[in-house]
Amino acid sequence: MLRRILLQTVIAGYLLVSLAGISFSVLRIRIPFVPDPLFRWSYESMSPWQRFAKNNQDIAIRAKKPDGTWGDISVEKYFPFRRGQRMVMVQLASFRGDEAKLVQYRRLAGLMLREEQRIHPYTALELFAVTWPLSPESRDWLKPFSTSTPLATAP
Amino acid sequence: MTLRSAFAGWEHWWTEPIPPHALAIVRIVTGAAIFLWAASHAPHLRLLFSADGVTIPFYADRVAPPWNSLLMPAPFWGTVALFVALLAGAACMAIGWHMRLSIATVIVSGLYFWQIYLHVFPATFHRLLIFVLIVLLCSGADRTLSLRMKSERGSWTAWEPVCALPQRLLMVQVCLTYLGSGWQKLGLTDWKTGEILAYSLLSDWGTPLARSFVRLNLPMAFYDAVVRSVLFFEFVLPFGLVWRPTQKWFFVLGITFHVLVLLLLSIWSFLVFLVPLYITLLPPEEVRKWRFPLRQPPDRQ
Repeated sequence: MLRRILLQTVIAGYLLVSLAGISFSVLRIRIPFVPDPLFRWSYESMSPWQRFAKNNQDIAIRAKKPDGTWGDISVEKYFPFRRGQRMVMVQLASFRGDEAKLVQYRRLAGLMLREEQRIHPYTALELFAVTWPLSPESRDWLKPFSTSTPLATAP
Repeated sequence: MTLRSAFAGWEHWWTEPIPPHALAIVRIVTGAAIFLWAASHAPHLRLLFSADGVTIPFYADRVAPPWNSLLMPAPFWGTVALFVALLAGAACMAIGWHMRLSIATVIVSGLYFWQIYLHVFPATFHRLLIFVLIVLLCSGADRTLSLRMKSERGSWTAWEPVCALPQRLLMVQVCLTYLGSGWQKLGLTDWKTGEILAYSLLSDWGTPLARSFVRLNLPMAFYDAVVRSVLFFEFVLPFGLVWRPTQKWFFVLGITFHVLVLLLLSIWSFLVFLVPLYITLLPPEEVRKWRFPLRQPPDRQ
């Protein structure tokens, strides 16, 4: 009997959470009494591809050498995966709000400088967000027309 | 039909004893996929997953001491030890040896690596995967095609019946994933035209094949039509997958859809983690009758 009650509770709980997810997906109606983490899990496990950009979005890293000149550093080392995944990752999608993102970019710049200093005597490091228009020709076809926005500097 | 018989039918559908073969196949495929996926990260362990490298632990700042120390990146030797545990857990899950311990290891170590991974990126398939793992943890999916049955009963293909609930949960979740996704797209502005497809094919998600396709310079009306077709397809897919007369065709269509997504948008996760769950939509007895490429002794219960 206890097992039956337990199983029916699991089924009812799962269906309620799923109903909360699908009702918000379809009707934007939030069912009360469903704990937020479970609701979010259900809703976001049905989330479709929701964003697209008309520009390429990437990150660029520059480091300062002891002689005072700046040079580019490869981004591949820090984002060695598919470019689409990298495009989302460099935007720090999990951190909400510009200020929260900037804090993490500063943290990132500091860690990258520490990493680079294992091999090179760099004295500073800068992170930039880089965007340029998409092109059917190739990814970098219109990169000469890119715009850069400073994100963080270390130290 | 009385209320009592309706409830009995409901309860029977969710909890009847069934052959565990479909769940075992999900366990094997998911375990193998996690193993290969995790192994692909091996060259980056120090840089992207250890305290010596470049990590941003996502939850460490949100949890009070001393528990937050468990969420901080470990030194390199600790990272290697956890990584080996993750690989071993995934391998044991696939072969069905100490399944519960191995899946628990995969969940704990996987979540640890995920949350210290540079710029956490929680995608839909991450949520689906954690659900599948939790369901498998309580499923008895090691009651056939497993080292457990080989050692206990002398045969890989020996089997014992399991409760249907885990398989039914996975089955419902597959349908809900498509249904929710399809319905949401109907209401999203970006999905009103074909622009989302055309630009996505040109984006960093797009493969060289996708870029070649865009260079055909087809009119935007073509992309509009493809997007409308995708919306319709995702809407009917869960029904087609469940209804027996159309099931076979929708299996083929669903797999084709995800193969195209892989070939054009380099997104492999749904093909690897969602498509294998289709097997849970088949009658368990039908899957049991498949001829598995292992020595087949007489079935025993």
